[in-house]
Amino acid sequence: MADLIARNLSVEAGNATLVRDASFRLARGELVALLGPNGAGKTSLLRASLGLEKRASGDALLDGTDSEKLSPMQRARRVAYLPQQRPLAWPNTVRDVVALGRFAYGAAPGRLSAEDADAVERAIKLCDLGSFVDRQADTLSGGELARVHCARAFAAGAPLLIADEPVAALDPRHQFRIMDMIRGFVDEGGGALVVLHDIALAARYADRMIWMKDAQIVADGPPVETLSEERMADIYGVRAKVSGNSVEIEGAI
Amino acid sequence: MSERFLVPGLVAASVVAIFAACLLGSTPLAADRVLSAFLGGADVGDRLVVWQIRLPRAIAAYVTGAALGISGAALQGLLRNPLAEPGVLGVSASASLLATFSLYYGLAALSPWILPLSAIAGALAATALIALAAIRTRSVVTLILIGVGLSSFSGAAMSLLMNLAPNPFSLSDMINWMLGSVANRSFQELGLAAPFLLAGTIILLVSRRGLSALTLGEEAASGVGLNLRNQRILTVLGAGLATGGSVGLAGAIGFVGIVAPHIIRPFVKHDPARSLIPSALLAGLILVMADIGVRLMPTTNELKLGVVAALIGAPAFVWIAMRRRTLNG
Amino acid sequence: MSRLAILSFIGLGLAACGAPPPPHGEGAGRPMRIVSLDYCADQYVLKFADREQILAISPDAVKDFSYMREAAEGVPTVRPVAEDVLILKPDLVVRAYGGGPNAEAFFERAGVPVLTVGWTSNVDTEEVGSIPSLIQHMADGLGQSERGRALVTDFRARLAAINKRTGGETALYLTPTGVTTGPGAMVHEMLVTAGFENFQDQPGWRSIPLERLAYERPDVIAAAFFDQKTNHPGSWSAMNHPVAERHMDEVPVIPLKGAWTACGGWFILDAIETLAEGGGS
Repeated sequence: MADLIARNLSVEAGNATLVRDASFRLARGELVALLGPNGAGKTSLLRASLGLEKRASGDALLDGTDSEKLSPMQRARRVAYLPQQRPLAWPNTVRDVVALGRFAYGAAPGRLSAEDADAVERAIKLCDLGSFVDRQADTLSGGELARVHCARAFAAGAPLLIADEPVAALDPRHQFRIMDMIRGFVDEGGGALVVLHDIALAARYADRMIWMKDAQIVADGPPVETLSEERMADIYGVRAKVSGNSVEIEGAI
Repeated sequence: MSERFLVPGLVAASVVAIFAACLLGSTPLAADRVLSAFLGGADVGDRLVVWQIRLPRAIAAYVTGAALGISGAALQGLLRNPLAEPGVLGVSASASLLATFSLYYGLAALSPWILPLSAIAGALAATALIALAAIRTRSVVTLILIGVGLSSFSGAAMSLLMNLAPNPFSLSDMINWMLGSVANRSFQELGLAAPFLLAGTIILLVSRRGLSALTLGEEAASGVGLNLRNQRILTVLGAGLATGGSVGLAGAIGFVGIVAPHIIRPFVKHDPARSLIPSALLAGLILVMADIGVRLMPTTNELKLGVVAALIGAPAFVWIAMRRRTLNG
Repeated sequence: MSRLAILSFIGLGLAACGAPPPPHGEGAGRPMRIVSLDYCADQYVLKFADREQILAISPDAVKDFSYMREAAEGVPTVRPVAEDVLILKPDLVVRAYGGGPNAEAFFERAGVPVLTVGWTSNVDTEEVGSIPSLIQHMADGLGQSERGRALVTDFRARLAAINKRTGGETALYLTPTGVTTGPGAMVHEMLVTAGFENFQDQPGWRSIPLERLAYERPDVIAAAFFDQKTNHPGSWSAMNHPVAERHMDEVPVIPLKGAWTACGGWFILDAIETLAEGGGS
């Protein structure tokens, strides 16, 4: 059963506690939004549960195996990870960037097996990159580049996707397009954990919301259960109007 | 499309250049005599001159260039910057320093292998230092400054050796170590360098796939399955072996490892992995042409190879540095 | 005090300050406080001067490229640095190159006479630049003209007694650094005086003609400095090349001590004699 289970995870850096006693589960077929103010510990939680950052205590299992014990390739076949920073050191072509998603299967941008080439083509089609697939990535807009990285994640064919702020700094149209693609991925049977700052967007797409504040998980459940005006005030310090799955922020408290 | 002709074209040009290099020497030999010497005809003297004197020199220039070219391309992939290169990063200078140390304190007399091994030890130490520094700092300017520091230190230490060594340094020897030369190179020296050049090149080629993934940055590269630690170790090892081997053969030559990959990259879609082999071929070609140049130039003392390489490469270095825009995700 | 007495005192005082001290050696005999600044000068000082005349010689006098190294043992040395030398208050400084290009002018300004080892360009074929003329010049300057004349006579006698090679053989002069020289150097004169033709026909010191060695070979190789560790082979030396090494194995080699061919001194005669007689291989 492809899933990611974190149990009582704690992460420390020097004297500061970045994550305290966090437990959650990500399974296939659900889109989970991870929410919280800046500095709440969201990125550290993701990295520690993937085994990329050292834990102080607790454990995290990816497909039943301790995530810290996985080799990078084994991890990459189980989870596609889109970190917050997505630099591109060289002006690679879009197709080559997407092909990098197949790295864990032994592929290289110039050398793709039939299976790899197929996966790449599908990802390109899924994310609608056809019109600029042979252009250099440094000529793309922010929204187009975000789609390219999504395609790269999908090309990996991993059952789970973890994305850290995939739609930051994008215009609304591209925000929705990216979330649509992730939703499509989940509907096809994948599992996605997405860090978002836009609560409205999260409420619209997420099956479940995990709320973090001050290094701890304070709530974990579907929007109807966890999204409320009190919660918005508590976590973000804002006045909001919540009705069903939609939320409107009126101002800071 | 042009990609398909790239490697065969470079190979053909290299063969022509090496043949042309064999046409030059202190004894005037017409092209047809050189050709028949290659093919087994001609008299003993001609064959001796072509096969034992001119050919090893041309091959030495070529493999030195190739080693620097592939090391430069690999280091640029690892450090994600087009200005990284064994000469600039102080790797060649450190290799020179340890080589001259072993030579002038008598260690090299113990075995002919000690000299190339010392050069490699120096190269590995410097490359490892740079790789470690690269983990701590994002800025390539810092790395280049470390390289400048290493080169300056090596130059100063070599001058100190000159004064303290039990065998007095001949000045021309020190200049050759610091500026590079393939004069009087025979198959003996090539044989001593070859295993290390080969080993370094093989290690770099075997580990080149990871260099492509690094374009995504270290975190995302690790996310697609790259083992960062292993990649660093292999690239450092390969570049150290190849650079050290080439320094033991021809002294410290810089900038060739910047120029060749830079020219090649647009032809391979800027993929570091695919730039390795063409960069090696082009850099070898460049150095053979430079060696032809030093012999054609009408100076009383033969110009040093590294001087010509620097005359071409240093302005290129400055130009690349000024034009560079950083890419952000 | 009377005005006359004061004036006399002032006059005497001025007279005492004004007159320079008479230079040593002028009519007073040979110099007794000799300092030599480099190993070429050391050879002449050690050969001609009495032990009590010598104040200090250069540190290179005991090195294995110095012909008179045995005589140099026990003699105090001084580095050829101006302050160190002047403190000793020498009355004669002997030099070929020691102390740098401005040393002669400097020492003369300091009131110390300088005896310079001149250049030699021929063994004894012309008066100017010949070895005998240099020998006499140095001996005279050191106040030992008799010894100089004796050495010149001995030198000429030995020179006349040499059995010059008459077969028109070619000789190539080799050092571990792989350089050789053609016409215009003392080494060339040495080969010619022994009766050889110099294999190297281009003037000036340059790397041995490797490619020519693939076609022709010299009849004899005159190998100098190979007995010493001070002349390092050099990593790019043409001597390392198999083509050159093969010649060392196949062509008769006459080894010469490096001390003989240095400085253009009288001891080059040892080298000429060895060359003419053919030495060992």
